[in-house]
Amino acid sequence: MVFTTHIFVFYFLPVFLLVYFNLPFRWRNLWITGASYVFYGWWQPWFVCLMMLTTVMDFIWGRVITRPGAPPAQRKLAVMACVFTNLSFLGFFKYYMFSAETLNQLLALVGAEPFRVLRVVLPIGISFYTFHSLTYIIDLYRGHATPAKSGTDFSAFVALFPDLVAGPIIRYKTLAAQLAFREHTLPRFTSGITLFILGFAKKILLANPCGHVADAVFNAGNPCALDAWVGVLAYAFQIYFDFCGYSDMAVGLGRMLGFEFLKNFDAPYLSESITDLWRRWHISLSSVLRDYLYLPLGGNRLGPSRTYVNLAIVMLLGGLWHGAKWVFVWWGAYHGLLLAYERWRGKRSLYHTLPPGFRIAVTFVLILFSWVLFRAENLRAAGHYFGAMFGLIPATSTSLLLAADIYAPLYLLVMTVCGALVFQRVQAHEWSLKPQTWPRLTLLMPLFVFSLLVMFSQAFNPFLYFQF
Amino acid sequence: MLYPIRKSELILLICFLAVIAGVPVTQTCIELARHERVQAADVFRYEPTANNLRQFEHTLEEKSWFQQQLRPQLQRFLFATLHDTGAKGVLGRDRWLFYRPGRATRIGYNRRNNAPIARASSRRSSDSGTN
Repeated sequence: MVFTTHIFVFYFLPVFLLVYFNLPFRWRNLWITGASYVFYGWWQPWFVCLMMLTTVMDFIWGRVITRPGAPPAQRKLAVMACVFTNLSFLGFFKYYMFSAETLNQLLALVGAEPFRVLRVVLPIGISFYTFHSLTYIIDLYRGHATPAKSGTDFSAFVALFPDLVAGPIIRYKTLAAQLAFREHTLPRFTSGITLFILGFAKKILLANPCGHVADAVFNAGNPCALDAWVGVLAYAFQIYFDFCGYSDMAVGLGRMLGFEFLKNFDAPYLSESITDLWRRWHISLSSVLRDYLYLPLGGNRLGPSRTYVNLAIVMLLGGLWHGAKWVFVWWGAYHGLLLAYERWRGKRSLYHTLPPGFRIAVTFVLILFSWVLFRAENLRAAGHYFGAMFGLIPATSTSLLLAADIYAPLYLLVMTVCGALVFQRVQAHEWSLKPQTWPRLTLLMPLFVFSLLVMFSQAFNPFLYFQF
Repeated sequence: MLYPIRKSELILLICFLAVIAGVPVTQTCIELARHERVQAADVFRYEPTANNLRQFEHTLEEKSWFQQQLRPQLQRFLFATLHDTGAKGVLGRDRWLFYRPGRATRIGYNRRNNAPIARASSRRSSDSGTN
């Protein structure tokens, strides 16, 4: 189920809230689990079986790891087995086809007969809930968390529908106390409503129209240089408002249920360097990669050269985490290279002597280049697009047709609003924490109603991060 | 309640719940008044397969009274103010409307050999432009 659909807003959410707030507290986590399975199974009911299987398995592994008197060797073996099993599921469903097709291409190079590739359906959000489970197991092993008191608490943590399919990635230790007890207050609930409405509006009113512009340009044969830059700018706005909107809705829904999640974005396009960007973009993923991959690899403790290698490995795997395509690997490599370079210069960018506005502008252009890699179908298409951006590919007269599409007044207005919003410091997360006054109310409800009206007229638009 | 309740927060809560719960309740009342089958109950009528769930969701949206009433109004408003023509149309010169999928094919990317098909058809399309 998608947050910005008729079925979710008008049926699932009211029914869920009605039952939730009429249940005694001890039943609420069970209701969250059940409702989350319905939410998740809406795409493909059998996906739920896979999630149930991994939940039961990880809960049992957790018990084995924390069993009183368990020898360290046994605990280590248990955590390794658990990590291996979880990553095997993820690897099979997400990377099997990619690996097999790559192998076939290599076989074709040497003239060997390719083998038949099975078609594997990717369970939606598998990367997110696998990471949820892994953080639980690893934190238990490290002694950073206590085991879940009951299977219900743990299944509610893994399946919790607000953050289930596209994050933010929440660690068990963050939610453990809240699963056992959480306070439901009107200010918290209304703050959740505020954030939900703002996220909803970001997705419907900003991300989706920008997506039309980006799709039109990226699918065009030979856009002129201006169109190509507008296309990648539109994609930068689309991916930000899409993912940030989803995160806002997730945090907002969490607050309605009494949970407090960490924020996932902090004005990322105001970053003054790539190092700064990764402190502001998808914060939950950055912190998980840092704590569960970068630090175990040695972090910066093994000397400068090893630090650069570690950064590159983390970003390559981070890129691959986004999807089983070579463009994601290159996207990760690009960021890893820039991060390693900035680390070599003492966490300073090449352009750190410029005034802040220029630093932000240069970083933004570097980010735009990375989005070309991220959005392109393959490396060849990315190269073609870079060529179009720099005028190396002659534009055809059909770019008139493209211009008629992407420079429509609606899109120009939406992109201007996007530009104004991403380059200012007030963020929805902080805004929602302040008391909801009358002026805010008169802004929020019309915004929500207008977003719903626009939703009625839009085609199905799933969130970009669902594919990851 | 430990926290002071602001009247504005209470109104926000009531308005939000009224919107999200009002739509399905009104829809059900309308269907009952018309002696039609309650669409929302159809979810229990069929086996919960992915196809059936998609079909159920699609039918629910298309038969929604609010959607039927409000969508044309909004589209009219967006066309009048921002010349928005929706998912299927592109507005050209002199308010000519073009079919968007057709336009996309004309300027699209030939995925088989990665050669832009636009190049081949550029001369022919130069006159058709946006009007």
